Amino acid sequence: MGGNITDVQQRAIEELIDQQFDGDSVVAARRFREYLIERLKQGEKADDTQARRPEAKREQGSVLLSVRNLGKTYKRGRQRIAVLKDINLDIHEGEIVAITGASGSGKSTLLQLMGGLDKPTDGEVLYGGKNLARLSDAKLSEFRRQTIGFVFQFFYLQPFLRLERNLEVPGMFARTKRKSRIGHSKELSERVGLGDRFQHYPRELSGGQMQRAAIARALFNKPKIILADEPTGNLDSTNGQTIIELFESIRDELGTTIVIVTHDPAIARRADREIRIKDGALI
Amino acid sequence: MIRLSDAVVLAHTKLQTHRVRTAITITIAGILFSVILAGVIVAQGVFTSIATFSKEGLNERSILAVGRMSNPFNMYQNLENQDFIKEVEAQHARIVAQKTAAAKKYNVAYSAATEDPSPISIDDETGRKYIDSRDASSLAVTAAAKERIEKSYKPFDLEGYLAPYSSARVLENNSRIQAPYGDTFEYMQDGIEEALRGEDEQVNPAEAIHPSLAIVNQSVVEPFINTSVSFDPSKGEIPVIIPFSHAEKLLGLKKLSGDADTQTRYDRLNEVRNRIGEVTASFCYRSAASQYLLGEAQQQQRDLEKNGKKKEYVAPSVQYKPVSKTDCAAVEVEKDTRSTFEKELAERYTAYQKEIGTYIGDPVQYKITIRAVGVSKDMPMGDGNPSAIDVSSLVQSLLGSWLGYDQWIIPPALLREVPEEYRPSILFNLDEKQNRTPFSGSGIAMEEYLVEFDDPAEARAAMKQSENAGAGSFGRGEISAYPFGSSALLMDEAKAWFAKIVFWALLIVGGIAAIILGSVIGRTVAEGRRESAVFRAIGARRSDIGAIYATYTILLSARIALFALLLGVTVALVIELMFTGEATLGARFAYASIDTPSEFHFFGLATWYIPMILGAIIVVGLVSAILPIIRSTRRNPIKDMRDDT
Repeated sequence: MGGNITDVQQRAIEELIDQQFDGDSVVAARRFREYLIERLKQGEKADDTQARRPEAKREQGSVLLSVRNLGKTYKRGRQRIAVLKDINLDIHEGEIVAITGASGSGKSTLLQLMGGLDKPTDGEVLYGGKNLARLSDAKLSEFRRQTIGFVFQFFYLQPFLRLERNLEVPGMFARTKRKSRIGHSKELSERVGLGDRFQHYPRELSGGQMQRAAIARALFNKPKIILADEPTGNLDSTNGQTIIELFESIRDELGTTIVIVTHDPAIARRADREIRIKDGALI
Repeated sequence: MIRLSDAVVLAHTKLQTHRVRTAITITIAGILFSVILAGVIVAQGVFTSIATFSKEGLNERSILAVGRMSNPFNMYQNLENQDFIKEVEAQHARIVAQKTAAAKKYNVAYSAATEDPSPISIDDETGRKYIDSRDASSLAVTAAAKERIEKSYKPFDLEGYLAPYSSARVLENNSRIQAPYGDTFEYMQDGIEEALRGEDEQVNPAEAIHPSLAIVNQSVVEPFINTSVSFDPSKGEIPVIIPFSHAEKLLGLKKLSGDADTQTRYDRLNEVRNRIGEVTASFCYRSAASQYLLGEAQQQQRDLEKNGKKKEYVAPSVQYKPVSKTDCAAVEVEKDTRSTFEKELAERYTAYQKEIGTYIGDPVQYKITIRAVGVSKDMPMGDGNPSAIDVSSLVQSLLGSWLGYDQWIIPPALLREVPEEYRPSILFNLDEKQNRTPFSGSGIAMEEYLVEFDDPAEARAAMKQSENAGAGSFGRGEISAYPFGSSALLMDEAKAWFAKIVFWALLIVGGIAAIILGSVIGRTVAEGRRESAVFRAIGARRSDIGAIYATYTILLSARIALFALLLGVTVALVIELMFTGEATLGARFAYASIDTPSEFHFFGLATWYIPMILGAIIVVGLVSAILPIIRSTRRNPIKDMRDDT
């Protein structure tokens, strides 16, 4: 592909990309670069593009999850610690969003509030226009079960269940029939490249394999959103790479929205969007 | 909520997570409950065995020995009672007057001052009258006491007592064979009359037996009569049913040692049973006068042997023939050298005694020969060492169709066939309904009846009634009613008592187990918080978490129940294997008269207690898990997840 464009064109493209992308949206930049090269190959000038952001190519989906004026305060003894302050953001359908920030910045708490695992002190998390804090335990559980898929840093697979059964656990809470569960978990294990580990116990898997298994589990009830809390935090870079590629392919194939809490800049760069948090507030 | 099968899958992983803890919990709680289960299994085995054996002997009948002791009059507490002293004074005056008149009539010497001094003393300080305890046995005092006893005596209103029990009926022909007051009726050990036993003929007290005779209602004794014995009434022998050990001794069989094996003892039982018709023994009855003459004759004999060859020896005016030790015969006069005056004086003295009521009567004696026609239950076996666990005797006392340990029982139907000359009416009374002990020196009269109840519930009610009415430990003056002939009536009480024990044992063991389980489940739940949080994150409701832990508790309790059951069954089986032989022997001894093929077992699973206890284990588990489970479902999943990461 590179043989068809001149070095000057190549440099121009890189300059343009440097101007347009500030280095945090690697995927978008890569897509934009591919797009420009394609256009050049077809004889069009690179500057015709009017420097469109890659989102332009990828239709921005409708808002799936809205966070409005969200605040969370914990009591520790007499002290009140504000973990999150006045957060406003929207998560769109089909995007990969990275939430970054230092340890203790409140990013995990934000993720958990978005997943309906806890109730905010102020503000609201809206899904389909409904305030999660207003839902009953049954409804909220159903929301987590059907809409959300959680992925954790430490995988949290059931040590005494074979992979087959581990993937089924969300189906158990959804009261899915065993028969349909088996086929589905087999399919998912193949989807994450663990088809040959289907009858293995977690202790027989590597860290990367365990996280892939956890992702397969999160996908079991076909969620709209995957909320991943430091999914690569416990993996080496190669395995981390595999995980992020898996997320991308899931988004591409299933249209699943993926929100990743991370402090790994490499992952953040590959997301469609990065949301930074510092001391409980967006920056 | 989560499906049961899925809850089982997830709960099961918790058991696997804490294998050591699970194993320890199951072992400790299981052992605790297994003790109760083993007890229940053994008890059920015992109950079933007893029911099996109850079809033999008297166990299916509800017979009570209903007795009443008359109100006693304690003379010794009344020695300073002025009313009583007045009565004694009156008696004394009457006796002296009667004797003086009679002495005058028959021309016999009588001195009231020396023969009948007044039993009343006067206290030097207070001037009050009292009876010195040394004078308490004087004629006047005993006469006054007897009068008081007789005055206060009311016949036992048995009919009134039994009125509430429509199924009760009094069994006839029961009487203890007892010589009247002053007479003797004694067993002739080795065929020798007790009063005539020589120094060299003494019996080792351990070897001696002291049987007494009693007639007991025919229907009651019937099962004990050995049908293979051909009893010939024309021989004049009295038919009796005797306890096993007495029969053994009388057959000349050496008592088996305590450690003899089961088969040997069983063989011995059969031998005794088969040879029971060979057993005979003798009793000797002597009236007071006969005893007196016997004493005189013995004294003469001793005197003759000692002094006969001395010059100063003077032969008595009435000389008796030497008396046989084994015949219980009348004392015969060899030579009577009394003068006419002496004879006339003796006659006058006899007439005087008859007049004042102190004549001891004519000499009468009977030798009663018995013939064994059956074997009854014995004193529990064993060599008298109470510390040794003697299953056989334990079973014997449990079962028991007994007729009294030292009593030889006469079946009235067979007795009637014996010619009357061999069964003097002074001893053998076939008309009595009751078993009555006349007033003796203690001033207490005991009346006892055998009452059969067609309805065992009524029998138990009557027993209860007598318990409630009992005043003092002996129920003196009150009515006593206790089971006769079998322990069947006590079995229900034993069962009720057993149920109480099981209940308390369950409560105690259950309490301990609840503490153990509560803490184990509490810890498991606490350590499973993160996992619960993850489950919540992937869609579990609070109720799902609760269901998983409840399932976990049930699985754990079920394992405890299974382990307890296996251990309990094993222990019960070991007991069964160890003791069933001995127990069967004991049971067969208990029904010594009947050859029964039944066996006594210590193993029975057919009881509601077993599912009840197993259920209780699960309930205890769930109860102890309630608090930790409720707490766990109320937790904030985020906090739990953070705590661990």
